[in-house]
Amino acid sequence: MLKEAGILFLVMLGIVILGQMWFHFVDGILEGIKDRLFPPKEPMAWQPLPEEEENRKDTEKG
Amino acid sequence: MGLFGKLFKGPEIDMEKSDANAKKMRLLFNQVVENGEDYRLIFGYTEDVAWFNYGFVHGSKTKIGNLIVGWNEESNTIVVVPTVPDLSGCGDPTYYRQSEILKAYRNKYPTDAFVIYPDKKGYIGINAYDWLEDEKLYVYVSQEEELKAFTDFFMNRFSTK
Repeated sequence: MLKEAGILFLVMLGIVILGQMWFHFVDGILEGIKDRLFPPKEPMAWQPLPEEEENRKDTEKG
Repeated sequence: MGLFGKLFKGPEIDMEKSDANAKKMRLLFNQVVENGEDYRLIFGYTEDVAWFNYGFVHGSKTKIGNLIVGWNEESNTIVVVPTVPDLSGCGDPTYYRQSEILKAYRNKYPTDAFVIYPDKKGYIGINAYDWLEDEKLYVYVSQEEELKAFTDFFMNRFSTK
């Protein structure tokens, strides 16, 4: 009984692992196609949090 | 409160952390939006990150873009500023003026979202909740009252349906 349960568990584990691998494989192909068809744009301007807030945070840590 | 009371009460909101993040949201918003003080703010997020090329985070199967959403009732305008869960920075604002957009409505299915079409080419779906616990994916902020006010504004003033 314990042996059958163990085999069943291993089979199910194998299915889950294969499913994950298949998902990432297909997802990777789709992402690749998307990147080729629609190349990523230039990064947008990024503003850091104002310095006074950063300084206050550092003071609190120190 | 007894042990069982505490067990069944569910997660508690850390208001100190929430207030600190609300202040950071305000600082970031005011930094990039002219007259930012004239806008009320909520945190929202979007899963339509096609227009994001910086600042989105990966969920289990989706990519999530965090947003600081500001609204001004006088000018009937919504401003969306992309950010990250730790609020270390933000991107450029996008303005949605009610008089200039194609349409706006609240979507119930598949998810509850505020949807804005600035033109025929694109749209943004903004999801907003009163609090989201997962601070790796979302900005940790409690916003029950602000969300009610935003929903009221969106439905009664901004929506085109």
